[in-house]
Amino acid sequence: MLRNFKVLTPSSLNETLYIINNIEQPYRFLCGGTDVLVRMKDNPGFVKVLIDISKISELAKIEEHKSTFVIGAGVRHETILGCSHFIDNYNGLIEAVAAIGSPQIRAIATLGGNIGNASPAGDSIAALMAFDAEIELRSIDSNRIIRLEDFFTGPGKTVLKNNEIITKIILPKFEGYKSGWKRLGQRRALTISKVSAALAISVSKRPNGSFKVNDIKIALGAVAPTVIRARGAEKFLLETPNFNRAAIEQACVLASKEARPITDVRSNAEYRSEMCGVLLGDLIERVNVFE
Amino acid sequence: MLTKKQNLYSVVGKKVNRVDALEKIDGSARYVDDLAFEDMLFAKMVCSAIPSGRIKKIDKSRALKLKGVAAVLTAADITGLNKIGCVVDDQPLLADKIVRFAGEPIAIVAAETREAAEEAAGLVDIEYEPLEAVLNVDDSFCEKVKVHPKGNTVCHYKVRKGGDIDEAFSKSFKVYEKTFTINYQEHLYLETQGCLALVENEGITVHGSFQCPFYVQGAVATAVGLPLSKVRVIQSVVGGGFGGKEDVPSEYAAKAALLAFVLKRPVKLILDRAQDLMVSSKRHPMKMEYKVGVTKKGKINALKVRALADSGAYTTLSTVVLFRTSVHFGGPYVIPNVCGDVIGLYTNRVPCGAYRGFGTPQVIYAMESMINIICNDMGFDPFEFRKNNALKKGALSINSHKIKESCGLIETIDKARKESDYDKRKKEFDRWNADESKRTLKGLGVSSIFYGMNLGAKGWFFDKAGSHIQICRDGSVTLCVGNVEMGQGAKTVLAQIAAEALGCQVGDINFTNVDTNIVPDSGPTVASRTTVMSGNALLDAANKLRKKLMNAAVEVLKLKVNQIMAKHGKFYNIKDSHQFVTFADLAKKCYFDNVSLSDMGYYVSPKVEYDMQNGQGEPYYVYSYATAVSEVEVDKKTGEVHVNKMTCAHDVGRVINPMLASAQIEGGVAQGVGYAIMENMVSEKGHIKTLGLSTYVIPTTRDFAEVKSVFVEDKSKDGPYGAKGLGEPSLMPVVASVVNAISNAAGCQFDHVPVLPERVWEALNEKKMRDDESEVR
Repeated sequence: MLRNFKVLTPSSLNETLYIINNIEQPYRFLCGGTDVLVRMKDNPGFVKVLIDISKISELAKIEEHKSTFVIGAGVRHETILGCSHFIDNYNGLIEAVAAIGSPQIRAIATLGGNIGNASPAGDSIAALMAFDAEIELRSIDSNRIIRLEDFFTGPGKTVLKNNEIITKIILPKFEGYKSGWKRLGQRRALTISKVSAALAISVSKRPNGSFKVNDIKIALGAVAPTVIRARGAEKFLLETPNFNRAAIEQACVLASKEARPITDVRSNAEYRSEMCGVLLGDLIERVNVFE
Repeated sequence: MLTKKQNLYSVVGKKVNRVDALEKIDGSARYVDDLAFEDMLFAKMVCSAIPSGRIKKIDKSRALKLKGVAAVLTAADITGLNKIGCVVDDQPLLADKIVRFAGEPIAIVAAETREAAEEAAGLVDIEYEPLEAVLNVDDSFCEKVKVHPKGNTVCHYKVRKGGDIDEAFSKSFKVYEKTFTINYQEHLYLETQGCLALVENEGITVHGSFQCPFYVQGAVATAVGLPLSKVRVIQSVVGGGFGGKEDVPSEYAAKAALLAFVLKRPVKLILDRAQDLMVSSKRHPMKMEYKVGVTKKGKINALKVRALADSGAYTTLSTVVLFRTSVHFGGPYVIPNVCGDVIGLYTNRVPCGAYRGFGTPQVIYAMESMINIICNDMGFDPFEFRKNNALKKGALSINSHKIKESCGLIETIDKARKESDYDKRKKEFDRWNADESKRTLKGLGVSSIFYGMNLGAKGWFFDKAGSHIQICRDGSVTLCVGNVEMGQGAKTVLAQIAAEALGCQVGDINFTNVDTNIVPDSGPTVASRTTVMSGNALLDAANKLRKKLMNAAVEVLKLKVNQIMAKHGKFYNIKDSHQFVTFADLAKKCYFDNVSLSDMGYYVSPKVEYDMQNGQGEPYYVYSYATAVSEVEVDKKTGEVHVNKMTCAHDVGRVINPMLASAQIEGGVAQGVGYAIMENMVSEKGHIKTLGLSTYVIPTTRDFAEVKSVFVEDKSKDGPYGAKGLGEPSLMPVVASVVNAISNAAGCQFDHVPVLPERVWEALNEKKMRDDESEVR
């Protein structure tokens, strides 16, 4: 039951920044509400003020720049799914966002919300991290851009200061990459990932017919206190002289070892670790790098 | 396909649309939380935070100081008796001095708003002295710690048939032994538990989401201290029950009624999902030790079973649920030597009770797994093996019940094989599985069941039903029955039965809400009994009224009774359908002739004789039968399972409505598949950890199998138009057939349900290691 809280509805980003610079009570932003309202129901005391930013148009824009796409933190998942830029170049993001919750949830939940909630299982987070996304954090007197990977410090924990808000997600443009996202859940839809993996990869064929990895980014979800990059597996594949099935198999083993999962009500640690490798293998296969 | 005989009927056997469909689609259906009365208060339960302990102190002061709080009641404030046990008197309405499970209600708060009630519930300070908790059946059986002073055994049913069981095994060609375990299953009705109580005419009226309004009436009368006649229970629209609203709502209704009675104001109590998951009853987890002896020719000659059921902290319905377990643990087979012990045990966990199938899906899973093991090991065809051992007319069940009629088991086995295209699929799957490049393994699994109709020997004394039919002078008809619509389609099927008998149209029929003031106690809406019980009670009333209508028709048409046919709202000349009088005109004529068109009906289930000491006799008067075939696909790398298809052949005596019967089967499959591979209630130290829909997960349409329903109609002489029940049988074979299919795909028999991907993955790895080792050798 929701009770004992108040809602502030600033009409602009500046007003929002002013409010959070001066607020003393514990607060949360309300945009889609799909996480915060559930938490408030479970734990009515955890927040006294909701700051409704759902009507702030500055947060709901998608802009294309020379080398980046900039997505407002208040952009809804459904909007991403309808955007041709993303459909064409960020398949991994589209796959992740399309799997979040249900149509109802995707219609209202936002990308910034999924990031701010900082769940290690956050599906869009894994996909964005595989694209080296950055985010903009603003306060009344500062504006910093950090790597998404550096934003999280633990489950539900981030470097966001009390007077800061996530305003933008900055996606570098990716050309010549293939990408994908996959997860295992307790059921096929409307589920929280028990393991997820995202991949962005660029491969070229040498004159002798062998393959070389130009660039690769692998993110793993729900297997550590935050979404993580599988740097070991990435490094191995970047350095491998011959990118073939045997190398992929070895990278999968490395990815499994990089996971630091726990056992909880959804799955167990051993299975989660092993599945990191399985998902990575499936993704490499699915994006069809040897084409 | 309809036979000639069925064509005689005008509405029975037809695809009639649900009579309650529109109100549920357009949102006009009024569930209990849609009801409101002036001056109404909201209630919230205060529940135990520990699984076992003494209550040292309850301090209401902080809660009472909160604005809007009207009362905080504890055991000391109960005006009637502090007991709620439906069958055995071991459960208090509110815990007094001792708590026996985490979530046991200790106090109840009423306040002006839901929010205040909830906040106040958190401000009731309870001091406990924790005691050692009993958290599994093995510890409970040892009785080192007693949950109740009388000991930990809730009930012990014995079935002893034939000679010495060890001697019987010594004569078996092969003997198989295995122990199985199975977890809880939560009902997860869409509408959580809820009720609304108010003081009316110096008594209490309760509205709510119930399966058994007459149980509620009894519980409220006991708790408040009123005669039954001062307690009126009016049914609201119910958003699903599945057994979870059998006895359990009585607990909440009695609490709301107590508050209403003390405060003289209407009180609404609606459980939120987390509390509902924590405190309401579940399907019994069980540990089942099976030993089966088989002859060389594939006859089961001996069966020994020991099933330990976790009943939780209180008996609730365990004694009746586990009675049914003791009848069904051997499956629908002829077994000459049987030694079975079904033992219900107290633990310091949530009480377990009624759930669609009532103590049978667990043992069906174990028994049908044993048959799968036997067939695989001895090379028997799974259908032929089952047929070879199947119950048929003249055969004796494990309880030595001689089957006299309506036994379509063998026909369900044959139809399931044919309609599932088993033989062709088996060959395809064998080829598929032999191809190592395939990512998945495919498997087929079979399961057969029987299900005793109605309440049986353990509940015959309340196996009755009443009805009231009133035909208005314009020809519209009001029906009132004592069994409830809870989404299963009862209203539609009962309207079809009444319309067929009266000769009116289904559209002429309206239902009065189930109301304990109007119909006699009709027992519970459980045990797949509503079509049979309320159907027969309606037939009893309708046949009396039909005679009066027929007499009027004889006068109008100037024909003899045997020359008149009644259907679709017309009474007409059998030989000339143009010569007719409408149902409405007959109703009008009777009205002005002062002939009463209002009558009561009553029906009592056939009496059965049963010896509880050795489990021999007639536990039920007749059985429904079914055979299911599952097709599954198992991911070799992740262990994930998808049920692709289920073919379910059911002998239901007579299908009253083919559309609803198929829908019932689809629902049973969905719930069964969830139970088999997905639903995993996790407990830690007596606390349930999966208290939300994101952790206790049930299937969505994406997880759903294609379902093919096939019917066998071996009519039951005691059923309305020959019908038997289907509500529970629809779920019962599902778990066993799905697990057998997974086991056949993976090459090992799974001994725990749910079969989660983690376990399948582990089993596939173990098998691979074994295979690799044997290759090395």
